[in-house]
Amino acid sequence: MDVRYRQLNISDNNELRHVQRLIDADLSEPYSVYVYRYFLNQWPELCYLAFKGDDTTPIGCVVCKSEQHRGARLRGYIGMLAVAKEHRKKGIAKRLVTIAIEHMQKTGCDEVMLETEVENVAALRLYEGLGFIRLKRMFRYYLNQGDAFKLILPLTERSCTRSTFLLQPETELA
Amino acid sequence: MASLEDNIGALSISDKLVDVTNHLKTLARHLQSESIIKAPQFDLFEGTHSLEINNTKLDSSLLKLSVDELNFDCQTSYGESDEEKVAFVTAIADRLCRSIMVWLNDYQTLPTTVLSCRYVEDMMYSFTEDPTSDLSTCRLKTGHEIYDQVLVSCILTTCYFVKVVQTLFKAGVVFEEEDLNCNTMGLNMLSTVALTTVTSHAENSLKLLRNKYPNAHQLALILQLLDSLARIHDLIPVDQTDSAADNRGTLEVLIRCAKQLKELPATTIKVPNGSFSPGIQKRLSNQFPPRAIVEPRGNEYDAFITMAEDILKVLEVDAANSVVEINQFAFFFNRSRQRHVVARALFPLYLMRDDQMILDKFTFNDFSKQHFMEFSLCGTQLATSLRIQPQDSPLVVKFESFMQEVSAVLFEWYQNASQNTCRYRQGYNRQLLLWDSLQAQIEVFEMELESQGIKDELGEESTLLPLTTWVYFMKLTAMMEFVLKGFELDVYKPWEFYTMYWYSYYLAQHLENNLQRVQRHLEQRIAVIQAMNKKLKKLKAGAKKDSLRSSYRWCMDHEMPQLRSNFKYVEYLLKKCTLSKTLALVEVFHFAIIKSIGVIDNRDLSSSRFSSPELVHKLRFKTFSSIGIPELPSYSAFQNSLNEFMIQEPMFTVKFQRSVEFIQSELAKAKAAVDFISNAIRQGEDKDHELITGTHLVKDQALEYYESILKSIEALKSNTNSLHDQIGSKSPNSFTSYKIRVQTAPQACSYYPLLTLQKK
Repeated sequence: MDVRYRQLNISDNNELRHVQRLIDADLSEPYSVYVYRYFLNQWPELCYLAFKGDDTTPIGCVVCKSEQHRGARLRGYIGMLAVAKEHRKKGIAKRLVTIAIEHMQKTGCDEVMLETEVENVAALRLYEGLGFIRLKRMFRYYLNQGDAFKLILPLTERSCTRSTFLLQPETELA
Repeated sequence: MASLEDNIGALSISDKLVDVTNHLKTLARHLQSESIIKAPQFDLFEGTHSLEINNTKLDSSLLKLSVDELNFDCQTSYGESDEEKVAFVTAIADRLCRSIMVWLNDYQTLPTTVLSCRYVEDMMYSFTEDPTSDLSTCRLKTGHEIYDQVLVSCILTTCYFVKVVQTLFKAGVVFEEEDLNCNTMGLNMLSTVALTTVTSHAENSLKLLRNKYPNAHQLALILQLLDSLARIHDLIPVDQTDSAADNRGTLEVLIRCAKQLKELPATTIKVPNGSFSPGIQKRLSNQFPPRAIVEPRGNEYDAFITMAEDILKVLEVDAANSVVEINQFAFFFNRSRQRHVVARALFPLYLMRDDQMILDKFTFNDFSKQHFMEFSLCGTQLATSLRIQPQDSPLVVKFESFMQEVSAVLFEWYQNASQNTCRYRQGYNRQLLLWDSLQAQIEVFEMELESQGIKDELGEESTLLPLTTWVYFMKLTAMMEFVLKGFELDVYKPWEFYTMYWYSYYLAQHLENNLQRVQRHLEQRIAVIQAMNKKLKKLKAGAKKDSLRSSYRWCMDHEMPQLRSNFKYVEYLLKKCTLSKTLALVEVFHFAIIKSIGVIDNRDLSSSRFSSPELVHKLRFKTFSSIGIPELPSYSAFQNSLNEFMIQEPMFTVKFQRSVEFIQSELAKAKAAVDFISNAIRQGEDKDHELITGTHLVKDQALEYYESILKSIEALKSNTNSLHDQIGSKSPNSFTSYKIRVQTAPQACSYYPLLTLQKK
């Protein structure tokens, strides 16, 4: 199947609705429009959509952001990822995530972070297959009371140094 | 916007509402999709906690209520006869009582459990409007005493308990949303009401039930249970005037009532329709998405028993005879099973009081000092100097100042002991920086002391540094806990097992060396005191002999018992450390064997696309990268170390056999160590035993832990045999159809999962 990938067009309100539809159908967390606006309006370049052939309705999306983390490093964050049920197991999610990480790497991110449910084996397989590791487990993180793993993919050495020491270079060798 | 301001300006001040609909619509029409209007502080957390009008998943005003719910009237006494009214009130009280445990044990919210009771909402709403301490605004007026007196008592005691939990929660030990949800929808949970006001109300109700409703046995039991719940308030040391022992009775009543209630047949009468409803989420200011109310599952009275027993366990720490016992209590009480959230929240508050006392026994500084004394400080030159120098001497002042810093880190350590299983690991991540920094500072202090001659030689140009030694011991233990807890939490993938266990082994070696140094000091000091006695016998009578005799007696009375006790405790710690070291080593061997047949690798090449195995490794060890001592081995040291454990051709089979034999002998030694420790725990503080474990208050928990270690030893032994059978004399290249599976044997310690070999 021919799948096209492109960045979201934030000027087109329909695209926000498509993202909402894809995510709402899939995720256990109910997100308000503010969450979508928060991501899409501030980091439209980090939201990618997947289309089947020439269709104008996306069949998958990834929603990300990148920000300074504790003033110490630029952290990319994968907030949401969804592929319509009928199009799963075709590598679309992996491609979407890969494109997003490539963009983050190009724009100087030191690491990429995300949270996923401990029970979400498919998501864990996808991200761990790209080199993410489980940094910590978070107790009853989701509304459905499931624990979550915080996953990180280090892109530069800055990801491997505690923030405290990045902020105070003089103590780094202490 | 200007015209909107004009309109507002034109309005008279008596107008409270301004219709902005048209202005809003006009402005919204001009908004571009790219535009975003948000406060600077609106971050992702705010976003994910924001609600949205007209979104059924997020707008609780869209909740649909049934006719019964809409028409429910709290001022009506439901039921035709007195008997029926008692049955209804019993059913309401039972459901309310169960809701408390659904709230706490199933991590539900108050609006979906306790506050879903219309009577609770109604009474607390009235109280919030006018919070009088005499409860005059907190009533039902149905005209029937079983509602207006007894049910009111049930509501009051329940709400008082919610207040108790709120108090515990506000102390900041447990975490909102993950351990506990304490959102009361803005309702005031009897903040101005004294416990005695509520318990007197309950006593009157119980009297009424006894005198006029002798058949309302179940209702009386429920009320008694709720009354004891409210009295848990007295266990929080902030307001404590009585000793804990006196309050134990409250929990015993709670357990007795819960045991009786769980045996009673389920009531056939249901609660009045509409008396439990999600309506509060619609009527009051709700900052959360709408949720259905949660029905009790039937095991709630068992949950009450568990909670009460867990709180009782916390209170047992009062009986500790030493700091070692307090320390071991904290280490074991929440280990094999995560304790009830109320017990976990209570433990640090009960132990470390607001008045800067530990259990009304030690000041924070004395408590910290005692940690040193019961480990490495006793019998040292520093201990002597601290004893003989004036309180305002620079040495004592500096020492006390260090004790304050130690207290701060110890506070974190004890608080961490009662955290939920995930936070527990993270707590160590934070603590490591504190221990490391403390070690660096205290070492400088002790080096200064050494230059002034205050030092204890250990031979071979080595000195003890008693304070640094204890801090290092605490730091290494924290590092090992952090690493091993990751296995329990499934944080590591199989390819990481080698590095994590090898590092564990490395840490255990450092810990062992450190403990052996303390052991050497203790032996030396005991020998010095014993030598004094021999010298005494040789000396002729006179001033010199009198002086020596006096010194000897002082040492025998004040130092020797502690030195002997420390020796036995450190001996226990050494045995425990050996266990950790051996099990980590066996895991390392298992990995190396499986790597030798090509079924696993210690590097994940999938990271090469965006990162590298080395960068991923460094991220994994970020926690330790800044630690001064022990130095974190380099990436290549980790990689190279694996080669030493791997089995290479030629003579693969012979070498493999040797590895298997070595593993089996190490596991046999580990089993003997566990048996020895378990025996010491069972015997308690028997003076004849070679070990002091300090576990007499957590005997069952400590035994359970070592039983799990024993199960791990057996499982590792069995896995070694399986690997032996599977690999046998086959060529190491013939395992392409095999894969790894991680397994944990039943009841085994979760720190030591097994890497098993399976056919694909």
